[in-house]
Parts: sequence; C-alpha cells; structure tokens
Amino acid sequence: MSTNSDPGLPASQDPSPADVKLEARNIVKRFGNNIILDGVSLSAAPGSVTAIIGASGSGKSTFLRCVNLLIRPDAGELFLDGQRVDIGQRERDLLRYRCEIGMVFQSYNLFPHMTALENVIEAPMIVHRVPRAEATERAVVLLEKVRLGPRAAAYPHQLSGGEQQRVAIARALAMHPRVMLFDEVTSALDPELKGEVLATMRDLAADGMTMIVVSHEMSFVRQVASQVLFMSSGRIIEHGDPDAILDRPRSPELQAFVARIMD
Amino acid sequence: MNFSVVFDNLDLFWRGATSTFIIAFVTSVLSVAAALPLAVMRDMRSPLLSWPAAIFSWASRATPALALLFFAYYGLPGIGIYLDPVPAAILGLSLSAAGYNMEFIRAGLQAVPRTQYDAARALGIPYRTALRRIIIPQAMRVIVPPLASNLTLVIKGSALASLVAVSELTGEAMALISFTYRPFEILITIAAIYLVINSALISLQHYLEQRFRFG
Repeated sequence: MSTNSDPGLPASQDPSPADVKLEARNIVKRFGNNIILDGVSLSAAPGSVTAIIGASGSGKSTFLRCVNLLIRPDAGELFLDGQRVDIGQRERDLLRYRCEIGMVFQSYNLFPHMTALENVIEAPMIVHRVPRAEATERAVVLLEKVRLGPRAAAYPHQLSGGEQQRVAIARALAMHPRVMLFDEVTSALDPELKGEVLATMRDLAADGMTMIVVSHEMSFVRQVASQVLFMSSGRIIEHGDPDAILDRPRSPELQAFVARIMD
Repeated sequence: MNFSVVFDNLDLFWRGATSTFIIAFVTSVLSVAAALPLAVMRDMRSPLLSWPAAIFSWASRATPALALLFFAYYGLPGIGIYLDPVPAAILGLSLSAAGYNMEFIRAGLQAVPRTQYDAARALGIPYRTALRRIIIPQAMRVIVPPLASNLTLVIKGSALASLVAVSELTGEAMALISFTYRPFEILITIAAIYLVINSALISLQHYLEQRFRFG
C-alpha cells in the first residue's frame, strides 16, 4: 500500500513550496492492526519552532521518529527544502538523510564509554570523515555554546542529566543538521535542571534553527513555538499559534488536555 | 621426589607446551572470530541469517567436544577431507568453543540498550561502524569475564587433542610416565605449565576489564 515508497517514482506533482524547510504529508504508521499515525501532516517554515503536544500514546514520538525515518512510515511523503525524500530506500541510503536531521532523545542516549568531547566528534569523524583536529575544534565551540566548555573531558556518568542533555544537543549540532527534532528532552530531568536545557533550545531557536519539539513544557511552548500541533489518537486534531491552541481550545480532546496540564 | 626426570626431558615438555599453546591460541582466535558474526546474525530479523546461527549454536553446544574432535579427524575423511592431527584438533575444538563464545557475545550485545542503536542511526552512523565503535565497546564488560573463562576451558580442553595423535602437553606427559614411572613429578610439572598459560589469559582478561570500564 506504500504507493509513495517506490524508488524512481517521479517527483510529486505538487512539490513542497520553497519557503518550507520540512514538510510531512499524510504520514501513516501501523503496528500490526493498530494505526499509530493516521495521516499526520506538518509544514515547518525555515527557522520556525513547531511544538507537538498531546497525551502520551497519541503518536507524537512515533511521528517524530518517522520524520527522520528512524521508523519507516507505511505511507506518506517527506520533503526537505522542497526535495522529496524517498522513504522506501535502503537503510544505508537513509543514513545520508538522517545526517540532515538532528535528533535529541528523552533519555539523552550519550555514548557512555566516550567523553563529552568524544561524543560530539564521533559522528562527524566517522560519517563526514572530518579530521580529528578539525572536528575537535568545532566540538569545543559547540560545547561552549551549550555552556559546557569546561566539562569537555567528562564522561556522561560524571555529568548531571541537564549537562548530558546539552552534550546530546551539541552532538546533534555537530552534524550541521538543517532541522532539529527534540523528543520530550526535558521529561527525564529534575525541575531545576530543565531550565538549562530549555535555555539552550531557546538560544538555538534564536539562531534560526528549524525545530520540531515534542514537549510537555507549556510555558516554553507558549514563549518559543511558532506553531503548535495537538495530537490525539494518531491524528492532528488542532493546529495553530500557541495562544490560540492553549487559551482557546475548540475540540473536546484539546479542552480536556489543556485542563489536565494546567492543574 | 626426584625432578631429574623433568630436567632430563625438558625438550619433550617444551615441545608439548608449545603444541598446547599453539592449539589453544589458534582455537581461541578462530572460535572468537567465528562467534562474533554468528552472535550478530543470531538476533537479525531475517530468518535466513538468524536460523543458521541458531542451529550452529544448538549443535555446537549440545555435542561433546571430543565427538567434534573425532569427527574432524576420523569423520571428515569419509567425505574426502583429510586433515592433519593439529588442524583437525583445532577445527574440532573451535567448533565446540564457538557455540559458547557466541552466546556470551550475544548476551553482551543484548545488554547494550536499544537506544544506543537509535542514537547511532539518528547520527547517520552505519550499522557495522556502530557495532564496532559504539555497541561492542559497551558490550565488552559483559562479554569478557565469561568469554575468558570459556577460553581457559579451551586451553585445558586442548588435552583432548592427544586423542587424535597430537603430541601436546598431556599426551607427551602420559607417554613419559609410561616408561619412567614418575607420575607425581611429571603431572605436577604439566599442571604448573597449564597454570602459566592460563595465567597469561587471565591477565589479558583483567586488562580488558580495566580497558572497557566506564561509568
């Protein structure tokens, strides 16, 4: 049924407009008989911050993983900078696309046997064959940027959760991604550590990075997001600017969700 | 007690120890080298890859090492494959050890969280490179202790090679006993030699445990 996944298909007749950084159209994902994503679409302008909110199990994280093809959708289309991404290609060929999309995970997923600096230089050295000296130079700049310059030689277990997550952000940025995905990156953090990670994300948004953020941090969403998508049961139920979504929910699902999170 | 029987036959002990060391060393290297890809294949989604690995693991571990050794030496000529005693011993012992090695390596690979694979994939790191640089170094601390223990069994099990006409340490010692009648001195000596060879392996184990310690 994956009509869009055959390699060699001509580009869609309706190509993604040039002022859209990343577009997902009608992404469908099933696991067995369960439909996890039931035609989810998203359009992110360059430099925009798209927040995806919704109850757990609504499909937010699965959708995010479909965007960088960590999970292969059963149907749908992806466009990056107006170029159609062939979602049916072999895993080996998907790697090149994934380099363009940075991802930060809820559980940081740093490589525990490498220092902060080694975590950051690993992928540029292996994937882009950047010489170690050059990769290190850039990694130092990135670690400064996430305010971890002095911690470059520390191993993940010597860092706090907030510090680990900032290393993970630097690690993703080291690949020069065109878009960054954030999958509930503060959910595993103690409240006093969330702030430093959110501040780093604010800096990144201010620098003009296109970001897609799955988050439960409503004040962050309100202040930083350019658009908010509300997901429920694998669909986008509402879509709009943060104030409209959070202050004037129309659907009963969103009204119930907003009432719960405002407690 | 009179150890002159040992000093008078040093060349024989040297020959036996060298032979034991070579068989044990080559068997260790081969059985680990074969076990790594088998361990990876065992948990692949494709049944074309996982089934052969599963069958090998089952057959290798469920068959006595001695039976595999005899098969390599006395059995294979039945289909036209003639191996000299030392290669036959190495083949039989490697087949036997690889099944266990494979399961220890597999346990180590499974101990690395799936999220580490996700992180590597998200960064565009190819699967094989991720295994080598990210997954295996983390798996090592789970793999090394049982794997090294199994290899000490391989070294000791190399004595079985004497049963297919290899002049290794235990076989040479038994031959020497049969005409000198000094079992005590001779067996103490070969026990000490096995201790030395195995201690080298155990030192390597400690080194690797330190090398891959983190967190």
